Amino acid sequence: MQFRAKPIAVFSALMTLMVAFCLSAGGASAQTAEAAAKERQAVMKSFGDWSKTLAASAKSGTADAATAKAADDISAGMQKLPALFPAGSGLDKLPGSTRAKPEIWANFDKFQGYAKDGQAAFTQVATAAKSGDGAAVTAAFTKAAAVCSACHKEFRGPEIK
Amino acid sequence: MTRYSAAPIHFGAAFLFSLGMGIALSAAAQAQEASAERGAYVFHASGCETCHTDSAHKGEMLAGGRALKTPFGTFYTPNITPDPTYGIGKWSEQDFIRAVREGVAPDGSQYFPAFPYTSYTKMSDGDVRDLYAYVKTLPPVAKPSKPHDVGFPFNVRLGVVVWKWLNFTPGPLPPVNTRSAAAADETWMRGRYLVEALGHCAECHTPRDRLGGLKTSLWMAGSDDGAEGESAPNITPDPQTGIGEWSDDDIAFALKIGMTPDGDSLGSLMAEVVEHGTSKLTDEDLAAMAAYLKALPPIVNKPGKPAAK
Repeated sequence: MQFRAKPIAVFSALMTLMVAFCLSAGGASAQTAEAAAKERQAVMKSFGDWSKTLAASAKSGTADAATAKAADDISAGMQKLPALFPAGSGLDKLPGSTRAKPEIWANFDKFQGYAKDGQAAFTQVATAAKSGDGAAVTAAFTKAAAVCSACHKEFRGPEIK
Repeated sequence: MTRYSAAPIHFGAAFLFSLGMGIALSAAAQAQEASAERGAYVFHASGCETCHTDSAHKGEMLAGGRALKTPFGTFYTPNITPDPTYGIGKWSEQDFIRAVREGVAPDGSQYFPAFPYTSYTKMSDGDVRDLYAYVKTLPPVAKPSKPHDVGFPFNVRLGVVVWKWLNFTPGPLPPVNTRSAAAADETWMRGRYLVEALGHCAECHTPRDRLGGLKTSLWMAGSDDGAEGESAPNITPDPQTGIGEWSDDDIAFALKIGMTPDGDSLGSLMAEVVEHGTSKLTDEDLAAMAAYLKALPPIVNKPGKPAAK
């Protein structure tokens, strides 16, 4: 009851706190979005590097330990991928910093489905590589690359110049 | 344009002459039975399905309706299923050949060159007949074609006559290599046919002038206005701006599985070209396409506009 004397002061103090919180939360979330965009670009870059190894194996029909490892690495990365796409981190919010289309968040289930398909497809490549069957590596990698393509076609915007 | 202005009448005469000479079916081709099975392969190599199917809206195969955004307006591809009312079910083989190789509809009206008859004119007699035989076997879809959304003056179909006079060279490919000093051996010839005639790669990968004619001096050197409003990359063997760093194998493999040697997916429409087209071609044909591209004169050109906001 001793606060009853100055409710307005309390109210304004609370408001200040809230506004400060909102501002900092807003800033943090924009930063989080930027950070997520950077991180997933790094992940995609390593996918690309591993895919180079896999493409070479698929072309020559090679099934070896390096092929299996590259495929396992991509498969593991696929599992973590959807978490790197927080809402508000698309090219509508971060133009020039990301190629992620806003359609990702309008169809997030489908997007996650591609990541699951990718995970399974690259596991198949790893399995083929471990079995020592070069032709199976070629076949499995062809399928896996089609998953990459399908998702990129649907959810990746134009190159950033 | 200037190169024709000196002798327009002669050029026109040559045009009509070549139309009569180059496009009529040879007697040998007429003698052979057309094959729907071979036609399926021609169909894939020609990329018909990609444009004539509105896959983004789950449209039926070849029922048309896909929007082709160009600097001249938006074209909607027509229904080319064998439906007698809305498709090409009533077309004779002759009608089909004239449409594909000359850009003229059965009623005599002109097709806009968004339909790449400028490339398909180079299609062989046997292939175009096989293609007709194959398309006739596909399921008909009773769905009307959507009118184009193209502004003046490009909406005047009669203007296409003038456009063709300027930009359309009807008839088959010459038997020699007119693109580079490379020998016109069998592999190269097959590759050129697949790239220039069936694959119609130049339609997107070669830039156009203001009237929509291909700038042949920049053959395959990339375009700011590729399909879907995106740029199309330089595919000449220039090491910096083109694909000179790619081996023949890299090119063939990219066309087969849709991934570049860098481990990236091929972009936008090219992913569909691979899915519905080049992934279904034989390794020999992909190698031939690669051989043709690698033998092109390298051109320094980096297409691409700054990213849209």
